Amino acid sequence: MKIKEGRVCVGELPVAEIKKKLVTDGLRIKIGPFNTSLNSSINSVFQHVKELYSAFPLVKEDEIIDFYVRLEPTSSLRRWVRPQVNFSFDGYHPFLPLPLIQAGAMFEWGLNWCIANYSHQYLIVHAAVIEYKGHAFIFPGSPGSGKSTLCAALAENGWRLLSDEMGLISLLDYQLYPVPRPISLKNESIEVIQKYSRNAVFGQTFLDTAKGTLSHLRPSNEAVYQKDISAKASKIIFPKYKKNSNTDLKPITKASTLLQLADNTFNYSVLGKTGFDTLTEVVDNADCYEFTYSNLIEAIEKMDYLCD
Amino acid sequence: MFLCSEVELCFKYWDSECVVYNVLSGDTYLFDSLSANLLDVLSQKSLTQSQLISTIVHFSSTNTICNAESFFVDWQKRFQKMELIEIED
Repeated sequence: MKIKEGRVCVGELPVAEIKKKLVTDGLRIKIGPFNTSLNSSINSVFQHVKELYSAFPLVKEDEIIDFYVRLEPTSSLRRWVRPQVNFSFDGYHPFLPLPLIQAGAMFEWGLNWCIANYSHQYLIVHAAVIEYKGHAFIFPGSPGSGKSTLCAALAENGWRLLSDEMGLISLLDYQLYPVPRPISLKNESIEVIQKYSRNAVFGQTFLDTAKGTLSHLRPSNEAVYQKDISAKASKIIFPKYKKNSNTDLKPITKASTLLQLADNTFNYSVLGKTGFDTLTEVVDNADCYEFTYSNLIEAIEKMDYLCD
Repeated sequence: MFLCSEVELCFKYWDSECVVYNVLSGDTYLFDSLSANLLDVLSQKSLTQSQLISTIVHFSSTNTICNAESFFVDWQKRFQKMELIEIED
C-alpha cells in the first residue's frame, strides 16, 4: 500500500472500505488544510470521491475534523418521484435540495460554502491559483471569465494547482496556501480541455445544473501531495475569455487591482482592517494585469513567458 | 474642516492613486493621490479652507491658486457627500 506522509490515500482503501466509511463514521479526507468528514449513502457520491479524490490522504483518527458534511436523499415521496439530495454541515442545511443526480456537484458547492464561511484564518479570494517555477499566479474572476479553463489548461501543462475556486491568503505570512480540489469546468470549457489534454481525467457530467453542464477535472497527484507547500503571489491577473479576441496582456494599476480583488473576496468585510492590510501586502508584491484571450495555446505561452 | 467623528482611515498610495479603507464602515475607495493626501492631512488635524488650499498647492506644484480653489470646491462636495468630512459651524 502506497503511503504519503505516513498517510493512506483514499484510492488505496478497498472499495468496500470506502463505501463502509461513507455510510457509517464518515470518510475522513484531508483537502488542503481542511480535514473533512463526508457521510453519504448515495452511490454517485461514492463514484465522485473514487474518481476525483483517490490521491487525497485520509485524516488520522486523532486529528480534529473541520467540516462534518453529509449528503443524503431527501425523505418522503421524493425518494421515488424526482429524487433529491440534501447537503448538511454539522446538521445544518444551508441550501435547498437539488436533483439527486447532482449529488457530486453539490458536495463541491457545499464544501466551497464551508470554506468561505468558516475559514477566516485566511483572506479568501474568489480566484484560481496556480504556480510554476516558484511564481504563484492569482486569477480572480467571476463565473464565465475563463479563469477555470485557463487554470485547467495550465494545470495540464505542468503548473501546480493550488486552487481552482478559492485563493487562501494567510493573514500571518501573506502566503497562498493550497486547497487543490477538482477543477469545476462548465459548458464549452469541458470539451476545450478534453481536446487540449488527452490525459485529463474527468468525473461525472452533471447536466442542467444552475450553471449549465458541469464536470470536474481531477487534480494531479503532485498538486495534492504538495498541499502543504505555500507560495508567494507573483502575479495577479484578471482573465477574460473573449471569443475571437487576440491574446492581450495589459498592466493595470495596483490601486485598481486592490479594489477589484476586494470585490472578489468572500470574507473581506468579515476581516475588516486585517483584510485590507493583507490585500495591500499581496498587491504590493505582485505585478498586476488584465488578460484577454481566446486561443488557449497562446494564452499558456504568455503565462509561461511571465515566469521566465 | 475635519474628518467626520469616529472615522478612521487607512491609506495606501501607489503612484498617482491611493486606496483608502474606512475602518468604521468597511468601505474601500480608490482616489487620486491628491484627494487622498488632503484626506490624509485632515485625518491628523482639523484645517481651515485656506490651509487646505495651500496644501493642494503644496502637493501639486504646477497648480495655480485658482486651480487649487476649483479643485477644493469639487473635493469638498465629493467627500461631504461620502460623509467622510465635516465643516465646522
